[in-house]
Amino acid sequence: MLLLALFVWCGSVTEAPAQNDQRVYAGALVGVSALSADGRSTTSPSALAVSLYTPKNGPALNVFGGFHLKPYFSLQANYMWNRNDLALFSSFATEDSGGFYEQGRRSSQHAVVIDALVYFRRVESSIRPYLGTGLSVLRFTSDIETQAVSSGLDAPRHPIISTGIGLRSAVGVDINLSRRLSVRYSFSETISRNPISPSLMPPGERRLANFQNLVGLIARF
Amino acid sequence: MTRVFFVLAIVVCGVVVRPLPATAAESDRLYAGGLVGISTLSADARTVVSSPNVSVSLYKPENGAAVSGVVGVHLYRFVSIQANYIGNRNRVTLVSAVISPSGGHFDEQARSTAQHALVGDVLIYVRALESVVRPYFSVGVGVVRFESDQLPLALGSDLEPAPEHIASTRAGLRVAVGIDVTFGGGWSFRYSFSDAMSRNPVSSQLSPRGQRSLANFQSLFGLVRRL
Repeated sequence: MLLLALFVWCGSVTEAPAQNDQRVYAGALVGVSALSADGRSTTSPSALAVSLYTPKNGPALNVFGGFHLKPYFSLQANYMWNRNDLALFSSFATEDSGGFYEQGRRSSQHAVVIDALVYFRRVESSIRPYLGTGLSVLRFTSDIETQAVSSGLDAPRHPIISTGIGLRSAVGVDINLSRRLSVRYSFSETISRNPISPSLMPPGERRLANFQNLVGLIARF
Repeated sequence: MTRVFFVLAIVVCGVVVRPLPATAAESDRLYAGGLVGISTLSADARTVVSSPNVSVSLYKPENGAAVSGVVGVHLYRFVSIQANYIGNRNRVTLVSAVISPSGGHFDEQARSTAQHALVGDVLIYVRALESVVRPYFSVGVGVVRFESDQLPLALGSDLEPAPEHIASTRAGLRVAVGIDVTFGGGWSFRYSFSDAMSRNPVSSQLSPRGQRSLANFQSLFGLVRRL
């Protein structure tokens, strides 16, 4: 309801004079990507299996171009990239046997995203916070980085490759430095199917969330 | 780069510390409200490998209920200060295990947890006091009381379990974003998403000990009224 009200509010506002020029913009942001972790344990009175993966923060890049449709509303196309190291761990134990592996991996994601941005101040304002949401097509790949440490359980040997759909939500703020140049800060979360968790034993069950803190510049044309 | 940050700081300060207009300064500066929602605690895990043996521990939290009561003052058109009580309950499952090729020992516990926090926040709005739609971000510090009790469901084999009762009082840092939507009569709808960071009293009970701070994410919505 709130989102609907915001869209109605944004759509009902008449165009500002400043909107007639410089409606197209483009920019680039860099920052940090943090992937969500996952873990699972299955237990019975005499047996246990535990698996988890831990991601490291990694670099992220966002290149985008957009169009100010209304004083409070914009559309934007993004290319996004991030790289993160992972450590996969799986283990089991029974009354008379046990085993585990720990494997270091490198992962990267490439995504193309279409966002709708709802601003809370008009297009000519100096400080313009916004909410954004959009759909993405993302490509995830992961390769073995370090040989696994293991005992009694084999680590996965194959690369992990997945192409899927993601939902991206973002908050951010544009701060004008000049008539044509702004600084943008953005915090976003992209949720998608998790291509890492099925490689664990027992398989994890959570979706993959990709949190990105980004900062950079926007030029208006 | 330093100059850019200096300019940004001046711009932000210049916007937020504008005085209240005379009419608003005399009344409607106080407000109070109540919010309810969902609390999500961060998880933690750790592995210590000394091949062919390994120790592993983790805890898995479930989403739980959260409530918040707020009282605040609109100091300026873009700045408010606010006192919060925030409470939430979550169930967590703790697992600790030592595994070797000849077998393993483990402990699994289901636990209830409750957190009560008193937090003082500074809110910076991005639209003026008289606006209908007022997004904000805030930051604050406070005191958090954490308690956890073991539930009857527990499995294990020869590994020392975590204590039946865990209690901890510590300082916390809370950051939030939110929005107030005014709908008349001094009433506003508020949505808030916050992250409260503090020392982790659960991880220290795992074996091996976890190392991450406890993050408490809360999605809250409710009503705020000017007094």
